[in-house]
Amino acid sequence: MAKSDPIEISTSLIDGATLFKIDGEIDFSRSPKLRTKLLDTLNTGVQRLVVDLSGVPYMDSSGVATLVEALQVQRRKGNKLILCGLQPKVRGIFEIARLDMVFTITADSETGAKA
Amino acid sequence: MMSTQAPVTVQIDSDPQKLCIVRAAVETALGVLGMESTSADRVVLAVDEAVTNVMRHAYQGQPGQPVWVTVEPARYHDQPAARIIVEDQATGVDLSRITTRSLDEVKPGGLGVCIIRDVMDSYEYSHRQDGDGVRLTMIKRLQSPKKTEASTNPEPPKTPGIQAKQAE
Repeated sequence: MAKSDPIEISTSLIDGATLFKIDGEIDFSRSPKLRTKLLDTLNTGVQRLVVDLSGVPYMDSSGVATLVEALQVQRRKGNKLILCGLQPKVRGIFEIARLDMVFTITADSETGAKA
Repeated sequence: MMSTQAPVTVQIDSDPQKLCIVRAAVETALGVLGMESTSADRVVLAVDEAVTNVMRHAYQGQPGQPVWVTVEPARYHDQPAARIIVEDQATGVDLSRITTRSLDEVKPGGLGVCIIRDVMDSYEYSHRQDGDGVRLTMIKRLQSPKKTEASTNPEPPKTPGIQAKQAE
């Protein structure tokens, strides 16, 4: 069945980093919400943001673009953004876009918090 | 048999909430044709990008406009393939402005056509002959070519309008 539920986003602290957890498929209908929440979080001055994608089975280029924008915001401020828990389909689009070597990607959030 | 399977067409309106319907329908149709799952996942992504581009650029975000996606059996370089056609009724689209960008530059946006180019064996944009709108025809082999074949038989670069001529 196609999933029509909206994405769910939660934030918490883990080992001194901010964990930004996303659950749900990210496509053009949902990436605006992701962008708003992500940029709002970055505007609080988060030095180390770990984006947990373990609950994201699918992502399109609008989701990738949102994460690229967030990475650029963090780098301009001298802060970090780490991705973790990429499922195969999500890792696939990062590989196609040649962004798997641009982002710091870890297996899980615990590793990401220390990266 | 594969060659006798009828095309499957799904019609949605230009509402991004309907993208999940297209993904599910295309994934199912590719599975029936026998495409391996890894390739099918990538093709679903490329089709999603194509339909998103229709909604964002061709219809400029206007809701309620029709988008058709058809999946049918095809041949490519004498191998079984799937042909996926995305059509719209948008007017005034300049096909020469549909371009890819370099992936060397890290920036948000502009990835949709790059993904289509990377995933598909061929793709071609054309104006529909039977009315307003654009038709994007994409072809993907059901089985990915083995690397040893690719190294001894390098294929031509993926260029719109050139690749499509090689498809059957």
